[in-house]
Amino acid sequence: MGSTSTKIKLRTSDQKVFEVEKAVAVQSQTIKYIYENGCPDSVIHVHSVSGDILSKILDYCKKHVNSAAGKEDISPEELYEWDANFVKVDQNTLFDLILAANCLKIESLLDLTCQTVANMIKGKRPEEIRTTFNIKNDYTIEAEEAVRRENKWAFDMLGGVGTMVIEELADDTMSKCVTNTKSRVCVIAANQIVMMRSISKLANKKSIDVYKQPQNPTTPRIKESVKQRNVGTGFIELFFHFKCKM
Amino acid sequence: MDITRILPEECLCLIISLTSPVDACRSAMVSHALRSVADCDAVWEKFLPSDYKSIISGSSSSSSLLSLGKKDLYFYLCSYPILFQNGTMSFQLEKESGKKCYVLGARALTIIWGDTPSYWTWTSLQQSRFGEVAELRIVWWLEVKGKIDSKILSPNTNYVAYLVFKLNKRYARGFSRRNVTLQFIVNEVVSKVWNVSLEQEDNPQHVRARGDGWMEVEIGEFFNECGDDGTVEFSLMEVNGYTKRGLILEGIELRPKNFAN
Repeated sequence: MGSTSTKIKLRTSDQKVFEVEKAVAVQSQTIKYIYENGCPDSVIHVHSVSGDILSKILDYCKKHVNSAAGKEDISPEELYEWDANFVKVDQNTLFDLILAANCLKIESLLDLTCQTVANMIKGKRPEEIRTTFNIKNDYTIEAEEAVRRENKWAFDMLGGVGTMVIEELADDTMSKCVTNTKSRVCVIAANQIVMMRSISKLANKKSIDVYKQPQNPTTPRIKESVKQRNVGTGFIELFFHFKCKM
Repeated sequence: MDITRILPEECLCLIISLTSPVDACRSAMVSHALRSVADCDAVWEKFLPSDYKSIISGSSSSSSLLSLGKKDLYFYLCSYPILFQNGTMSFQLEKESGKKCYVLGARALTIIWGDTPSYWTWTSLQQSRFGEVAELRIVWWLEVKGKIDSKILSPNTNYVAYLVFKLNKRYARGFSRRNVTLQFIVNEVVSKVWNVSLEQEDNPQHVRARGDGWMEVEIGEFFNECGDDGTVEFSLMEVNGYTKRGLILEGIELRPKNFAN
């Protein structure tokens, strides 16, 4: 017992079987526990992980085991880069990796994948976080204001350009954003900068009409009007009302 | 698919705890589900310094502080300095980063001739966070020293040390258009020595009002990597044989360097 070529069999949720070296498989605390407390020859079921994801995870574990054991000549910087490339996947795969690392209890992989998601949140405004992760805003206006007041200082930190991205210009769309009165607002619609204004220039105006002629003459002219509403010390809410005019 | 429906709360807590206090507060604004993650103790415990329990236990309000939720405790520590070491030192957190800030009160400093009442008096001032401040009556040999162990500071942080003081408008003498010497020593190596006037009119660039009724002047800065730089020492000296009066010392503050300034 204890030979370095001991293999463990793993069966995934989609009935794929993987045979891996014990040293690699026991990177997962869950698998380690099951192996040490069960029958060593039987197949371990990893119910909640699919074949594709387990395959990726085993690549990760193998790379890290080999590098730690000196079997692979890889510097810490190179391993760091390898990890960075490992997490360059689409969101769904990333979430599947997080779920699997959590369930299999592979701490370093869980930290790596969660840090990747954390980096997608850092520095973003709430609207941007919603867009990135497809989260619906389920606050009423009053509740939203109450939470904003509670966390006001986090918004005082925002300076520079506040960016609002409008994905589609439907006829008569209304969008809003809340921003610090010290920032500038840059509204980007369909990859064109439609309006860039300093908030201080917007002050004292109830609404502003701006016509912009897009580059391509066949697309419609865009009229925006901006209304602003004071929502508390140093913050205003801007309503952008887009209308397409032919 | 909405991330808050895919990942379990423990994973979401881990993710938010890997961002920052600012990002956690902004995340609370995203949706109800993300708010309950962003406000939970597991997240804010990670933003508090790892030794927060032992620091708080040195203060008189420790039991009530330890019963607060971790987010509330974090913001409390950012807003209200905690006194410890017999009320001679204060501790606070910097809001954006959760890094530790310390003030060595006048009683925690070594003031040469400080125990001689005809030279220095000890009084209570409303504006001071400490029980006592040191006020200079008259002295020729002005020497004030302080030190702090770098291991109690936050790791991977650029710290700046400031002398926090006031000049008594009516009685101050010997500071106007005259320089004092400030020295900053890290692990017994002199990192910075410079001469500066403590009078704001002489030196508006370096002597600034803090907004709490006190003035401050920078003594020096250093990068604390993992707290194994030994002791950091500060000194203020003016021993050139003329009388000085009216300097009121609150203490020496050590806080993270704020790049926004």
